[in-house]
Amino acid sequence: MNSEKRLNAPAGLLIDREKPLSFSFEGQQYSGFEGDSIASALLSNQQWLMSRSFKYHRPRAPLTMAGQDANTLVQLGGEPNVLADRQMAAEGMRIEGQNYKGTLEGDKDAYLGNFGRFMPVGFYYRSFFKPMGVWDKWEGYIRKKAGLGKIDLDFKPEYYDKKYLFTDVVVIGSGPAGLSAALKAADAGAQVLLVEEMPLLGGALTYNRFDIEGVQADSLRHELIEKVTAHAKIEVMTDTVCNAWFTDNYLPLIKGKRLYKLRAKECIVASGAYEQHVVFRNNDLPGIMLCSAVTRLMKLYAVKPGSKAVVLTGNDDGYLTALELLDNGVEVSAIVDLRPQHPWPELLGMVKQKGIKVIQNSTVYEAIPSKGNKHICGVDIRTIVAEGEVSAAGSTLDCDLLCMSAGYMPAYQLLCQAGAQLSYKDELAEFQLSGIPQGVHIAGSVNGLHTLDAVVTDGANAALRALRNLELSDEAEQPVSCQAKPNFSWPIFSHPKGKDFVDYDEDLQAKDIVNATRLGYRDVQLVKRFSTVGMGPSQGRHSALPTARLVAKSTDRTVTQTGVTTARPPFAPEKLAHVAGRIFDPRRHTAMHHRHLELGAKMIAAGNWRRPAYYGDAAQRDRWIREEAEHVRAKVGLIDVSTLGGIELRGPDAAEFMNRIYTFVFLKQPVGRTRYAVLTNEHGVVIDDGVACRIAEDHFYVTATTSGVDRVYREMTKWNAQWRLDVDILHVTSAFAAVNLAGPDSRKVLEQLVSDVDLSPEGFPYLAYREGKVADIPARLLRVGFVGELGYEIHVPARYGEALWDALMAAGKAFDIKPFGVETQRLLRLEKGHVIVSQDTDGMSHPGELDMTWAVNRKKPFFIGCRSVDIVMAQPQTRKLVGFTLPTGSTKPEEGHLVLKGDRIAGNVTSCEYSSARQAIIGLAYADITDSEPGSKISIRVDGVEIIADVVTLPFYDPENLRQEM
Amino acid sequence: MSLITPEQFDSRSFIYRKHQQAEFIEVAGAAQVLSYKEQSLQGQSGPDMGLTDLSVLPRFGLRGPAAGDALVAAGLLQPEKPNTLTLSDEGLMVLRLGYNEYWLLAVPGATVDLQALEQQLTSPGIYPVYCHDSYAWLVMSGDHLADVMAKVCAVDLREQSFASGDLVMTSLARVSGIICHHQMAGKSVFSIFSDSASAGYLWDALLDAMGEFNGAPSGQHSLIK
Amino acid sequence: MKIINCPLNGPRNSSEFVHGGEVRQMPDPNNCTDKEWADYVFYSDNQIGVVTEWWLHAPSGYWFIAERHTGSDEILRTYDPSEIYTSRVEFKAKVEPSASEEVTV
Repeated sequence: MNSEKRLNAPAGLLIDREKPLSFSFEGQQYSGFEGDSIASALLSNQQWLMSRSFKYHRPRAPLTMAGQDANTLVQLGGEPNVLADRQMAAEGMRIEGQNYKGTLEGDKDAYLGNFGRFMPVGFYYRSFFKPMGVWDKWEGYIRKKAGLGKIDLDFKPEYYDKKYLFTDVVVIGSGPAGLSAALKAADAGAQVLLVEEMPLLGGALTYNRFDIEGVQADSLRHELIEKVTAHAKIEVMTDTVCNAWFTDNYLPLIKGKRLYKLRAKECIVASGAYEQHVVFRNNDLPGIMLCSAVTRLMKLYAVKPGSKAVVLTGNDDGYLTALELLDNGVEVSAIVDLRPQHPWPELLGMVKQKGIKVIQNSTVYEAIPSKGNKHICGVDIRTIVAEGEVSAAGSTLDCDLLCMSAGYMPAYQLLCQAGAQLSYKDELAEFQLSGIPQGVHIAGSVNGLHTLDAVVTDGANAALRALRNLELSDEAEQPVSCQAKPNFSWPIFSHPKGKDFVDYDEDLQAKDIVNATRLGYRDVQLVKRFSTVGMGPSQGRHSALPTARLVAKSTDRTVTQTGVTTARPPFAPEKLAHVAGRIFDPRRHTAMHHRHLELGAKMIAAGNWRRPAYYGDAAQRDRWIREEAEHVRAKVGLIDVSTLGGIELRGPDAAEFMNRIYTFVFLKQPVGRTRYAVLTNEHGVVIDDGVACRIAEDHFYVTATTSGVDRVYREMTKWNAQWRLDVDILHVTSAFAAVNLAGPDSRKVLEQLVSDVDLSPEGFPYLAYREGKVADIPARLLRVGFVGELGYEIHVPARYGEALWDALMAAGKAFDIKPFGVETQRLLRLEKGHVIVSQDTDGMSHPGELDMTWAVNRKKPFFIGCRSVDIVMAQPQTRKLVGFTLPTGSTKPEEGHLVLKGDRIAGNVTSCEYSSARQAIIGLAYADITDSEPGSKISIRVDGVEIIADVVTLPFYDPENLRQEM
Repeated sequence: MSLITPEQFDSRSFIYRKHQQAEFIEVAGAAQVLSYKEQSLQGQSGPDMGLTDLSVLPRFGLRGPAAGDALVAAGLLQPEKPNTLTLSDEGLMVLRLGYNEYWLLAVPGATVDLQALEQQLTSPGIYPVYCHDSYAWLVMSGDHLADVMAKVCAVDLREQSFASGDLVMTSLARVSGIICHHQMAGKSVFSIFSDSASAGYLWDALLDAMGEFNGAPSGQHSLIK
Repeated sequence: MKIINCPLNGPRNSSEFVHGGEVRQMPDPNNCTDKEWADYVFYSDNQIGVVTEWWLHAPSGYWFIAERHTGSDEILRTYDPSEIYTSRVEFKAKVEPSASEEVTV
């Protein structure tokens, strides 16, 4: 199999005859050239059969040669559903067919086609929904029959990524309209990006014949492309599909393994039009192609499509295709013209002069298949007697190729996504687009223009509209007129025996669409969902127009009223790899992060942060937590609390601002003291808490929860945008590294490293704030009691964080210091009954439910949510957060387990852990208000079993709080 | 060869562990990468794009209603518009972030006494910004700055829309940051300031994006004339 | 993706912004009725038309105000909050309850 069979140059624009290649398809070796698509290479070897259809397993071959149909889906190694007419062939490729049983040639499921009448549209919906459970029985079998291709479960991820692009004007489509638009825009000084889906610029100019002599396309293509490629202001992207239009001209462009996210100031859509097929019996046989597919095959790939052709057309383009076939050595038996009228006289003259028979007012009623439906071998031609109806008898003609063109459908997808509307022009039998939004422009055949001059002018006009918006030109547009009417109004010839396909992807016949409307699905959207029309890979590129016409007719409406279904993104199938791209998953690490790793910490996520949960292997989690907790209670421990949020408030109104933001009073908070700070939202719900340090009269340093600080900072800045207080609000979380040095020996450890602060209980009492140097590092020191032991939070500039950790660990060595993790800290604070906002609170928790009324001051004029707190507190309280204990041997409830009151849900467990200090399982839970007093019992449902817990007084440990105040 | 290591100082870059095979010098009480050994072995033909960690270099910020006037009073080159920067001959870079926040930085090789300036620029209505600790300072150099940044950032950073002296506060690789276009050693570079806690993540993300343009870590020597 | 024109940072992708709700006048929290307060906290007009909204440019921490048409999603104008909020807001001290408890929600 070699090059002799190819047509002579200039045919074969895409192939390089100097570079032969070979590949296998279904285990058979085939040859081709570099630049061949898999499909063109196979067709050059007379291998037409490429796939089996979805439902009936009918043999299928290329229809469009442009990746616009599902007939060429093949399996390429581990990748299913590759379009053989778009994927370039490469040396050594191993390609298989898909969706067959046995072999592609001898598909054992092909018998399904004979059962077509027992599998009407909606078959699955209607057959398997009762009796109940029947679907479960059938599902496995049906799933096996459905679906295309094989997934490679050993798939190795490849590197895909994304990139932003920016331009003044983007032109989608490089046909004559797009080329003309790009040149006009660039000449006026705009930066232009020209996007082309195919490997070659030119669109229809690369394959279509516009004139009798067949010279116009090539000369115009050369002229325009030469200018475009030489233009400094035009950047060209071929092999690139624009897969959607999003707001403000944000366009995803897919090229190779990269998704470009283009932002264009102006967008010109010159996306062209899809040639449409004719609906008749067996219109899916291999050897039946669109006229444009046949000319693509010849001009782009130099493949001779057959030896004896019939052209079925509703327009003059079919005649030009016939001339093109003749020029390439294909005999044309007849042109079957759906129309009663003739084409332009010169064209008809030339066709007749070449000896081609022209049959007017007629159609192919049925294509005659060779054995096994493998190829077309003839056509049954009938006279059209009324719309969609044909004479009882006709004549047959032998052929091995049928080229068809019923007209065009604009490639409307991107424009409709931008907000344009489709309306059907009855006199033209064509959908047209209107209502194009600001910043988007339409040009060429998508705009219903079909003659070359009109298309070129229309492209320039679109550019002028874009240039006007960019204030780069005020040149007037040129008038455009186009007399061509390429659409035949009713190219649908339903056959009593069916197989007259409207939608090739989904094996839907004309009657399937009509039946859907008879079952009550009158809206085209419902017809789609019921029949699945347009849901296949080609997304209605060919089925939308005949479906609209069929639905309109059978529901007595106009085609405009019927319309087409919504064309949502993506325009063409895209891989999840493109969407995922290179994943940006920011991680935040504290300054001591690597020390934790070196110490064997089990790291867990806390928002974007990674924090040590405990130090040790996960298998012995409970043991490490218990040991770490006991160590803090008995000696001294060190925990990294750098992830705590930090906000600084500075200025004359700092205290006033604090007073308005938090529930407590801060105006008279002494300098050098800390104070617990609770934040409610306007609904009166507790949303965050922290510790406020008064560093100076006009300077507060407030901590916030790790996950809440961004929100707290935003709320603060938003409020002050309204209040206009003289206060500066600075987010300082990342500026400080911090640790909590906790345990009875913590003072002794700190004394090793601090010389400029009096650390004595009197000099630095509980809840005090001091500044000094720890191991020569400038530090902020807070005496806090979160874990219930003598302890110091030490905050230092982040760049010193690791050195601080090292110094404390070294100084603590003599006191057997051990690091502890955040899970241990949660247990320690639970023993002290301290609430973690967002773990122990929910979207309804007000201060009363949390026993926090002591931290709410209602004498001051205002705090956020004050009025809501008043309102909820005035109402009878229904639930309360309580402490409970369970005997050591009980099943441990998990967070979220329900607290029941009779058959009613009273609340849920929010925290629960085994406490060795208490020798019991301890926890916090929301309980009914009547069960909230110590001594009450609450019922917790754990894995379906109710267990009874004792409500106890908080805290669980050191009720006098003596240890933290040492 | 010097035997300076980052861990011998209390002040450390947030990502000093990324600098394997590096030669350090002492700058402002911390270790600054001078060069990477692998590259010095390769001779003069270094990578086309460089990424330099300048996180340990001195800098400070101030903001508040009186900040702008204080800069003028101190005779410094104040960026006139929000989101622009100035760079003096002595190597003092002043960023203006928004309306009234300013950062003062000493670029490699600068002959400016930042400590003195910091003490001078205090008054009511001026509040310090701890940009030395909350932000890492990375510098990207080479000929494909806008191309590389387009892989991580949605803002158009091509020369025609992002001139030398401009800065943007935006999101890069999903982390908030500040990108500044200025000159070092006579060439355009981008200084990138980003959350110090995410610096390791961003360092890797940027190097990955630079890969197709032959990018690699580079020491501060490449940024000094 | 939509572009929002930040008064400080210029046009940026909407992913850089955080929505902050409608700009609303807070009733006097100490002296309004419960119903007035509930209206303020819970209810939104949700009509087709121009709404005035808070938007935050997250990377710079800058709040501004945008006038947006909820039908077309077009942003008609963006501006600094100081255009509306011109002077320091003060809160009146709480008066004795009773006046505010006539109506409950």
